[in-house]
Amino acid sequence: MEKRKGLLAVSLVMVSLFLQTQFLFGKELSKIFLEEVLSVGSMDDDALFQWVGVVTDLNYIYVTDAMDYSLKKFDTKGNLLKKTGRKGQGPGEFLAPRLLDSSDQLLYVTDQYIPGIHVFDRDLEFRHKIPLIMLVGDLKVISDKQIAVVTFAYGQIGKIFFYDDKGKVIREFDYSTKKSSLLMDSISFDIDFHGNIYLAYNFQDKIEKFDAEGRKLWSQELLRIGRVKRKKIASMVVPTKIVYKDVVLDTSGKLFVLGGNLSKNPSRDVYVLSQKGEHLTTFTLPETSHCIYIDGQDYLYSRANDGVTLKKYRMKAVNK
Amino acid sequence: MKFRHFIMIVVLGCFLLTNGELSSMIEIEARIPQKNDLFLNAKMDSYDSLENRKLLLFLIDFNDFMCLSCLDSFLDFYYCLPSDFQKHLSWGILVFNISEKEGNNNISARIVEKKLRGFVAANNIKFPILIDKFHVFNGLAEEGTVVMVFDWSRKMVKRYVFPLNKGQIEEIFKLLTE
Repeated sequence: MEKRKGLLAVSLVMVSLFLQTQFLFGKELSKIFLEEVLSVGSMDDDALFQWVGVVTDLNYIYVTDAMDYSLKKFDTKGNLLKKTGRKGQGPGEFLAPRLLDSSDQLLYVTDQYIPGIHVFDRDLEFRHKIPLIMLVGDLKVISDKQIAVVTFAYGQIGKIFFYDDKGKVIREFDYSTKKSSLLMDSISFDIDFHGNIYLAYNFQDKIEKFDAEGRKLWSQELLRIGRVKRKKIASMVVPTKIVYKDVVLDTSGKLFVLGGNLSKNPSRDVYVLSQKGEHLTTFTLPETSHCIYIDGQDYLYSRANDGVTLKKYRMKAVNK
Repeated sequence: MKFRHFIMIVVLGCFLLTNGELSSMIEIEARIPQKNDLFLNAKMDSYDSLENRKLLLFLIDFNDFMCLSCLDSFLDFYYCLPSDFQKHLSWGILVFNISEKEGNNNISARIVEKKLRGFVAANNIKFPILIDKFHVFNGLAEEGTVVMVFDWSRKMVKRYVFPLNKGQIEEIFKLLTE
């Protein structure tokens, strides 16, 4: 009898836990509430002027700043520890520092106007440059020996290039099977530990997942907007609105997609999807942002004060 | 003929030509300088020495700070200027619009002030720049960042919108150096 009661109790607990998990991460989802835990850069200091890229480790926050052509290092309390870089085209110099990613040991920085990737150590000492012949639109550092890159170069959009640390192409992945017009296949992307690739198209209502072998697993349209309007400028026809600005994975594999101009709250709505592509929930950032970043402890980072401030939030799932 | 007399003749002439319509007279950009005029700060001993003075006024559009290449033309032009025009003979006005979201001039002005600080330091800008908090100059910078050349010897003001083409750059340098 006692044994049966014990088994029943355990079963009830397990069912309860299962239901709770489904409630939090199933199709009908709880909301996500942001709690600010850190603010880096204010009106009165000279810490940040126009931050663009961010990456973190357990002890530090690294940021690129486009206004003063620099790469900066902060501690976990937001104190500026070190700054490197200046305007120029030499080693460790920038014309427009942009994206930032890291491996275990190194930091990788792109420049909007200069092809290639600058490599720094964690003390912000310039190490070398990975020579690429094209400008980088988005990047993901898989390891010190492998970097995935997409480009804006005409004729090269629609592919993810995997480079080694010398700038040699290891492989190419075609995610767009049909040739779209200029910029329409431009994406932001992320790659998980299994090599699965997640794409959010910048100018199409399309979010997709491919496995490590390149097979498409699913494709999602969240906004149901049809085709994005385009405009003729000189001899080119280009899209006029951004659909999705950025995509990032959290540690559990959930996908976070930052909406662009066509979201209900432009550049503030963040769509959360499961690994299977189910739309779990949407939450809204307090201010517009050009990107989102999630660190190894699942804290979310985004922009505030027009890029003068970097905000860090704890994401709390709240029951509906 | 003294400069003051010239201005009075121009004003009277316009008054007569426009049948006394006051609004047309406002279009005259030259004005009778006063002793406490800002240009007198540029190390001049007397009002008469204005005749050989040239000055640059940059109206910098804050929106161009958001576009990474939009100020390249301005910076390239600035770095080519003679030393005096990089420091003493130029002024800057930073124009911006109130953020529609904020509705609070103070918050936007503080962001603008901070970004200006970063821009000036990072690009080694040596002339003073004022933030146009009351949006006095917005109308003159609707097309973006501009440079205005004040030429007292020729008694004229000219305005150029960035990015400058080769011909405009040559024209400006000719005005400044002749």
